Amino acid sequence: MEKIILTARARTGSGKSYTRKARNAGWVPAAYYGFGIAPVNVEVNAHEFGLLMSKHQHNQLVELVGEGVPSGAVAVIRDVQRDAIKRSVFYHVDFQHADDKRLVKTRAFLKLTGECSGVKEGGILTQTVHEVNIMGPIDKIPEVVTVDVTDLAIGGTTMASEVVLGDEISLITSKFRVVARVLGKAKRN
Amino acid sequence: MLSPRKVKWRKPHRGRMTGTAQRGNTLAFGDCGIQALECGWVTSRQIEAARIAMTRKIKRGAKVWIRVFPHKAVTKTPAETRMGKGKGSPEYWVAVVRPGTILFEMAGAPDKQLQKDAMRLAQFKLPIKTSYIELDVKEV
Repeated sequence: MEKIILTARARTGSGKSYTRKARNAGWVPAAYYGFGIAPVNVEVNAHEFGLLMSKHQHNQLVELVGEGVPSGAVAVIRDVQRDAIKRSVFYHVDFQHADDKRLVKTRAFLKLTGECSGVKEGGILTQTVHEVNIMGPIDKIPEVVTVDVTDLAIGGTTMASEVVLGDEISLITSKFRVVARVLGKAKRN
Repeated sequence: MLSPRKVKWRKPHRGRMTGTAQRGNTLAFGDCGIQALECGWVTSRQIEAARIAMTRKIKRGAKVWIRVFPHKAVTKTPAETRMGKGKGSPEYWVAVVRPGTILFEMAGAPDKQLQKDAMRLAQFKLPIKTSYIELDVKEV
């Protein structure tokens, strides 16, 4: 997976007043932490981060580059606080350091593939889970994982254990979690 | 229409609706939904009207979730009643909605445009300003 480079800089202040000023000046307050490194308060360019969130998957690897940021700061996005209504307004971001030698826990978008047989019979295919938690080496993390629903009939369910994962990638989400099901079409009274 | 089976207090106070929704403000079940942009009371009749509008448009071809429930009773004193004699009797039920609350969700519609149109019809039935939102996932 390619790394997205984000402009960042070390954050000198904290608190409501400072973070509000930073947001108004086009920076999103963030924290960069992880195993084996000292946590750093940073702020990332709001425009670049907005583009990252709108164009790429949220499990994208991010490299923070800028003044006061440790070199080789490669991270995954652990948490994003955003405005519930104005979705493009970000309050705070957590970046967790992604070490080459350690496995990374992240989420991947789950995509249903194949033409569902239950839908052809008139059922409604419902995806109950849109992303699954996975773990693996940083260079093997997929952007999307898939599950085949071709043989799913009305009343049938697909579990997380049927999700196709790449090499060295393991599933953290319970394998018994229902990810898709086909509901029978209700009859008119 | 939705209404509680039993309540602890029949005639609650009106309360205040300040701030934004701190919970129930993200899509939890479906691919798309209707999000409230302002606060207000949504009656059980309005919820039902919105549900009927969208399910008729999609011809029952999708799954719909109602994310709000009218827990609060609204009382009314009868017309031409003299002052006093206590609080009126419960008339209808409302859901208290704050900005950000997801009111409805939908998944499994055959066509995205149809899904959007159905949600639009439901939005007309609601007394508050709302917006159509979709799940934040990028196709690869």
